[in-house]
Amino acid sequence: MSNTLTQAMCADEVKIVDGQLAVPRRPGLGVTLIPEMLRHYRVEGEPYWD
Amino acid sequence: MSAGSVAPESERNRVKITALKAMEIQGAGQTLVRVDTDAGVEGIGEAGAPGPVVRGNLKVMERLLLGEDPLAIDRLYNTMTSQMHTYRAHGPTVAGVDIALWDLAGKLLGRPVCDLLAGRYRDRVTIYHTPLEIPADPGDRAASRIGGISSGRSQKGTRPSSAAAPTSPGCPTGAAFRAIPPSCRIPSPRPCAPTR
Repeated sequence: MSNTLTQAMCADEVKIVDGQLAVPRRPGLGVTLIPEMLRHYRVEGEPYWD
Repeated sequence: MSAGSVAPESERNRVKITALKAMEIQGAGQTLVRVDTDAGVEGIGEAGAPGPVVRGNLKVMERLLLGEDPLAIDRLYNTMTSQMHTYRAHGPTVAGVDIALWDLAGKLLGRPVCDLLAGRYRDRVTIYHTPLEIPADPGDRAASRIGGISSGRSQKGTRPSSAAAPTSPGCPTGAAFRAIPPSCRIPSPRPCAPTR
């Protein structure tokens, strides 16, 4: 798996293969954000969800 | 279905919006937007503006959105765009909230967002990247970014026509573009803004 910011912040369902993203089948946008990664990659000084 | 809502009548007005949150992520001045509800379900969107700007917009939008049914997406969109300043400087934040409402609707109704729109059209989509943040070493940075995205990619892609490539000397976008291997296809390279 390639190491992009998107993939670092999202759970395993976001898969990029051969330059293509599988359209999620889960409810909603189908993306689960990982809280620890969001804390890590937020801009310095940004509150965590405010 | 009813006008202004993505949900059948039986699903409407059962959930209320309780909070609007934002957080800027490193990289390109993009801010995540979160719409919370009293059902404990939240929607996530993305706004093309810095965190403090989005938070300021959301603070005003709270007057319009808190307590509303999140499934009334079209009505809320029109409320956000018509009942705030006509210049729409808050456009990026509206986009972030709108995306979050679609995410939320899908979660509340148990369906992927594509099914709530026109239906699933394809199973895979080609991704692309535009070098929004131009670093001091655009070539190396772009190459590493594009390399990360395109690893494992088929080598059958084509380079866009040279007419689409920014080629003026000193244009950082052009440097980033030239660093990308010809085998990596970019559907829409970002044009280089005139510099002084």
